[in-house]
Amino acid sequence: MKRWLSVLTPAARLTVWKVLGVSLLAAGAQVLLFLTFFGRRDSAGAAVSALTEAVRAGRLSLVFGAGLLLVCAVLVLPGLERGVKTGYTLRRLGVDERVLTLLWGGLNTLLLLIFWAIQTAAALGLARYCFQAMPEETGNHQSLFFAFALTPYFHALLPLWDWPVVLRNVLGSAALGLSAAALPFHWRHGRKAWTLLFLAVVATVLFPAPLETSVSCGMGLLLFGAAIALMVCNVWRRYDDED
Amino acid sequence: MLDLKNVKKTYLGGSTALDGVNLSIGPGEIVGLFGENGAGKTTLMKCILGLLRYQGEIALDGQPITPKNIARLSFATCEHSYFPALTAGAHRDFYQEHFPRFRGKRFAALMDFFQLPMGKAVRSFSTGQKNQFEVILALSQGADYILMDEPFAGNDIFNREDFYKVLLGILEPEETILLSTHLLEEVQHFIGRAVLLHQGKVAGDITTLELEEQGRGLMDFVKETYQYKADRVSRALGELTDRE
Repeated sequence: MKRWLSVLTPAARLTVWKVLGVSLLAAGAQVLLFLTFFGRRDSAGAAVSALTEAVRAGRLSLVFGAGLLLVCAVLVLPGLERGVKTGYTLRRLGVDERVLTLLWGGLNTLLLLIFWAIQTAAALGLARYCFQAMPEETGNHQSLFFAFALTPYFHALLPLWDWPVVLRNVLGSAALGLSAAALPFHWRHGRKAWTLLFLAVVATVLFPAPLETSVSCGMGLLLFGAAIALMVCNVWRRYDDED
Repeated sequence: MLDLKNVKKTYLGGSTALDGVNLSIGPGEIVGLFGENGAGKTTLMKCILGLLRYQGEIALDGQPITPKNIARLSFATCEHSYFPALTAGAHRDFYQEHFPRFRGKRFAALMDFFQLPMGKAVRSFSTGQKNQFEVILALSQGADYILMDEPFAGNDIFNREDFYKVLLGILEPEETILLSTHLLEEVQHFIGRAVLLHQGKVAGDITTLELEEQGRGLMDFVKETYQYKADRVSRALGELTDRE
């Protein structure tokens, strides 16, 4: 067990602080954009509409997407061979390189979930600020609940009772995390692998789930689920080098 | 015993890197692997380590090299195989976890000898220090067979000489070194056997004891094996001068 955990060290050293940095940066940018557009609100409106409008106008989901792409780029770093051939060492360890790739995928998933959690915490903070800043008669004790139910981006961050979206987010994190570990694994063995780029773009586009339809959520579930299965199979069976 | 039988390697492009190599390296030997660029030295080492697919047989004490016995081999390469973001101390902990026979005492002694910092990320080391660290890891892994591919490229002569001396002093009798290098004259007093590769084949294989008995130096043996023409330079210069 200790040996398995120790293979995470080289990856963790390169990613944890960077991912936390990007997460905080993305959350900070969202706070700034939100406050800018919230300040320009129509004071007569309801609190929930003011919040939804500020999230939409500030394009917070785009900032989230940019942050997500950056995090994915960071997660690829440990496996890349930049000026060194760490693959020679990885292939001589007590832990099979394929198991190591899957473990790194697990760590990446955890870091992506942390990224998600930090963005959610920022969104919750913004919503609370919004309701405190608005006159009491424009909202009530259920406004926070409505804000996360009616704003597509906030709903994707904190889907509450919407389990398919929760599952989609978790599967999306796992698919991105695994592909960020699988991409350099395949590169080290002389193969091309661009699944990560495709999945990251899809995840970014699909994330602010439209509320009216479950199509995008279903698509996401299907795509991420299939991607995880394919990636695990591909890592497991294609071990030999292409010379 | 490391046995290679009829090992062949052809790359996808069609170029033949190894063309039926037969070689046996016993415990405790210090073998110099020589050859011109493209002779197949690096490819041979990568085949032994299972980093490349090949035809033929490579066995370690009669067993094929698999993840089960791969830890008996270590590798120091000029391409570097450490983790740049980790400190030397983190490498020690990591290696201790994965290589049960890791020689912690040797690691500490060599780090001390070369005055390498334990707490700095390896990427911040100088080129010479990186080479030293690569070799330290290979020597400390606890392997029976230590493969070194041009490990001192970029190190100055004093540094290299120090290293040869230290190496001779610390090696256990059963530890085997396969050292690929172009620095023939430098290592001739350090190795016990010379293997020459030429166009993917073993062109020469001799012990330094045999050379001594024959009253020949390693360089003479290499020149003879490669049929080096001593007048090659003067003829080329002559031709060039005539043309002008």
